Amino acid sequence: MIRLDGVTKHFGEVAAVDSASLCVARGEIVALLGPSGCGKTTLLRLIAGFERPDGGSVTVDGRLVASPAAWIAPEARRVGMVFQDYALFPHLTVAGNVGFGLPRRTRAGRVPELLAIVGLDGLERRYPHELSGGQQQRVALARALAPSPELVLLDEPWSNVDPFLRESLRAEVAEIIRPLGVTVLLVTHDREEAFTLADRIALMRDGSVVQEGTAEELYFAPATRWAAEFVGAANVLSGRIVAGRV
Amino acid sequence: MLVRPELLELEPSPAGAGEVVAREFRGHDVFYRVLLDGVELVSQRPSTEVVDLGSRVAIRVHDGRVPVLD
Repeated sequence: MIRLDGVTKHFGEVAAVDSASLCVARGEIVALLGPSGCGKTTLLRLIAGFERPDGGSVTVDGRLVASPAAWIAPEARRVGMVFQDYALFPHLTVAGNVGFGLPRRTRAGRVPELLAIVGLDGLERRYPHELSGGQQQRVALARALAPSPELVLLDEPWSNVDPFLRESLRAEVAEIIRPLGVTVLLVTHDREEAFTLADRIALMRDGSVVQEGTAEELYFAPATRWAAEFVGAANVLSGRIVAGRV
Repeated sequence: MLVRPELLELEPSPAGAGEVVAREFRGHDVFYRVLLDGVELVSQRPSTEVVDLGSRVAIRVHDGRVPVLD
């Protein structure tokens, strides 16, 4: 469904993304988990088409969308995105925001359908400032889902929300997304978020994907000491293995 | 060797080799810092199991996954 092969992106001398490779299957929810500054948002922006890679390739549903030699514009990639601050248009109503990227002829039918999916029927004439944070998030999600994308990218959607609300917003998004079978790539630095929402987690460090697996695999079988300590509290003890015993 | 904190069980015992040197109550569980032979270990226990600060404890690794890291 999505395939990243050796994707690299430099900003000046700094390699923000360094030979990152990842596959995401159709309908899968994958979290890109890593510390701040590890390149996960840049990788998301490369997939969305907001940045051009210096090396490697991005393939979405079998179609090469980005490489140093190939380029498909963001609007033609069938990728939806929910931004950190939702990025709703303040001067547009809920219906206007959701239908923004849709062809005029399909808006009238598609917008009510999406508002029903995200549980906002009846609020189509409201403006973003008249909505709660949770409702704004659902508008942003509906807008991302509007053109029936192959893939939805979530860029730290709950990072500015208090922990209590974060939990309920996360559950809301999962309830909306799961039945649709949409492929989702979530960027987060929050281990709990990745563990509770994702089918699989890609752990990033210094621009590269250093380990992939389920939450259990990452937690109980980390590849390195860094991975072990990033995904949870750890006692790391030194020892020697002799004849299969420590 | 990686031992997750929830795999370290604490048994209060005057003859125990470990000493509880810090205790953080977190609601449904408690994080204990236990000094054992000069090494500080972290143990995570349910808050229904109370071990007092300063107690001597015996430490046991619960059966579970203890991976070896290179």
